[in-house]
Amino acid sequence: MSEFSGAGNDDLSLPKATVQKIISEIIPPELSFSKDAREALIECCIEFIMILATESNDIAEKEAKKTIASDHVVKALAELGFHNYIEPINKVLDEHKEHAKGKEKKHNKFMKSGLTEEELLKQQEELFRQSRSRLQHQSSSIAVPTVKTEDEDPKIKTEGA
Amino acid sequence: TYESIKTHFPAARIKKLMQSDEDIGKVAQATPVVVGRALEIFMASLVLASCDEAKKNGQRRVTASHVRGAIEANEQYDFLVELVEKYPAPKN
Repeated sequence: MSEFSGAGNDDLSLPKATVQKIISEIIPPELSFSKDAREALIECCIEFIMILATESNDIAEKEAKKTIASDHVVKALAELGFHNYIEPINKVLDEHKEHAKGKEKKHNKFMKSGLTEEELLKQQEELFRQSRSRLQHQSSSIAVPTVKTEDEDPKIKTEGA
Repeated sequence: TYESIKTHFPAARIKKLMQSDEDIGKVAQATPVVVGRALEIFMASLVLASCDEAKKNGQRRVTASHVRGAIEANEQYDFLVELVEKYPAPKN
């Protein structure tokens, strides 16, 4: 496995500010974390990510899957001896699924209409055209061009006279 | 304690780190989020264990040697033993 340098290369490191914030959230008020302790912590964290990634990858490969999914990570945690992490992780997964469901509902409305984007665009244009011609027709049958009154279209507010 | 951590790592950074190893293939969208959360739990537990080491020595400042001490004292952190050899040894 290749070596990863903690300091210097920011791309292969963790954002220091985030690490510091998390440390502050956790340590008891009477203690302080020195700079070298923080750097040691970051190195350990990177190592943790790498072994977790490697184990998850191995598990995905064994299942003949090309993409590493969340449940591969969960199995990897068990395999690596981090059983106590699994319950809080599953909670995160449940929250994430709920969020994804919400997004999916909106997406499905369009998918279920069975129309392609082109057809939907055409429909939209047709609707615009119809409402435009309605407006033109109305204004031509009345001497003074006017805005629709509230009774006809409650969405449009009338201007002050 | 773990659920109460409000700060999270950006998923994109986690993904980049994971894929810096050539052997790691594609990851699903939720995967870096899950790894990030596991990382937060790991960090919290290592920070607390390091704090315990400092307290044991009656110190208020947690140093790298306390981090090393915490790792050497906990089987779950065996994968880090080599990595921390370069830090000052704990005083025990």
